[in-house]
Amino acid sequence: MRRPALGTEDWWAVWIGLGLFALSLPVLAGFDTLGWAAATQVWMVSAKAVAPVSKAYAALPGVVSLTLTYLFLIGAMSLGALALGLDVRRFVLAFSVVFWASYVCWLAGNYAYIAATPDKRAGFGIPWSLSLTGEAGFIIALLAGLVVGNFFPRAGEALGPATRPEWYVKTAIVILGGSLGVQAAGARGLAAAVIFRGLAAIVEAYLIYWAVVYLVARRFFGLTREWAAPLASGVSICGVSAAMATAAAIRARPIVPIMISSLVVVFAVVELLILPFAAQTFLAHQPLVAGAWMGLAVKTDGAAVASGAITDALIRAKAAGAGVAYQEGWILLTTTTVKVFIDMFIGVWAFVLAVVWTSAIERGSRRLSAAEIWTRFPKFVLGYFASFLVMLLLVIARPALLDAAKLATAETNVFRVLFFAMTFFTIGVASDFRKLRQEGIGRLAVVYVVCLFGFIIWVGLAVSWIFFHGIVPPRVSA
Amino acid sequence: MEEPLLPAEVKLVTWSLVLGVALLGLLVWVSNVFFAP
Repeated sequence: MRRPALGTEDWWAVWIGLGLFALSLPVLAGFDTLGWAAATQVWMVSAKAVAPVSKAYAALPGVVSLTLTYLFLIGAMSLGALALGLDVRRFVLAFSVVFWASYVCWLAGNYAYIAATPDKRAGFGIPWSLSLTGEAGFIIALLAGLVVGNFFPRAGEALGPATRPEWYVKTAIVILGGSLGVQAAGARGLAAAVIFRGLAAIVEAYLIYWAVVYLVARRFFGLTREWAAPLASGVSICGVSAAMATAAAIRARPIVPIMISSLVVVFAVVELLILPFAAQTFLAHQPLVAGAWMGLAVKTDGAAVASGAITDALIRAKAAGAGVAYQEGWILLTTTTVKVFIDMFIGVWAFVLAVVWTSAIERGSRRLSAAEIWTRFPKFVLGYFASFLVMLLLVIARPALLDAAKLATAETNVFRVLFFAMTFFTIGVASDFRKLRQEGIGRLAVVYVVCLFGFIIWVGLAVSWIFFHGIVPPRVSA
Repeated sequence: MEEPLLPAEVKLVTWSLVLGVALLGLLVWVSNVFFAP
């Protein structure tokens, strides 16, 4: 009989996630052990789309880097598959297809006409783009998976051994912890007022957002707990990661966060196209309120930071017209700071929900023992906190390590986005259209729109105003 | 399928809102006293 600690997907997500994290750490001492991993950029010329994530491996061709990334992942995942008692040969074949299909979708999503945000178009020399950010690759992966699962059911069955979205997403979230630890530690060097007020703003927004969205979804739209909790996290926190972490924490079915994430990505684009211009029109006299508002209202990291960059440019341009020259970057800094703290809250909130669900909601009328709570507790949350705290404390103890730590997390992020892409693809494979309709994506979209445009945006604005009004960026010295 | 709100859910929502409102005053005060621009 296997020991439980070595025999569940949950634990293997922790081992593989922390293993990748550990492999990224030698770069802090000058030994770049993961820099060969293939990073995908927004691209117009396909030859420039893929390259090693670290400059130390710049001589390595992109295709070699990508092949190494694949071989490394298949080795790590096969080890896990072996421990889980799977047929390793079948797993390796299925995983190979899942990996390459997901990667092609991720690559397609990074095509400049699809991904480039308005502030980046000039750099690519294109007049328009869908502004979906690279995260469009997740939607493409989902659509591709749905096509396989619904129109090629035999192919979908053949992929069965590697159709393990929960394993992939939990691994990705463990990796995410380290990245956010570095961001949080890096923010220490920023203006203390912006940091503290950013933290205060998200504590307020989070506590109010989540509770109200959850209540509206449950009481007025009749959503079940399984749908309402990830939806509340997705619409009120940080979109994709939050919906997935919450769904895993309350043990929702994989289809739940995937459908919510699709809504998050689509509506983040709508926000990205509208809110910066609204901020320029109505908040030009309160630049940091505008910056914080972008961080609190626009979902997904990519879209929020892009909104902050656009708002920074728009408001400074308007101020310059009135003879005021603000220093560049302070509005974006405020957006980024708020977003970083929101991201950090994902793990905290997933932890709170995991405790509430296992101890009070799932137990029904009987009392769960501490051992049962521990058995049912999602262990990936612990992996997330471990990687988060290690990076945070390392960089706080040795601030000189910040740049190396950023490189380390850039290297692990290569794997995080691949795990996310495989999550979306395999969810698509495992879903069928009839079931999606039965689950009611239409009603979900209505709840999302009502909460986002009727509530989240305005509370975000109010909270931003409370904590940032009257603070303006330094002027450019003559 | 309808799922009635459990007491634990009501408690979670209530505590979240109460904490939000209570912290608002405290955080604004700390911001203005210790983190004035």
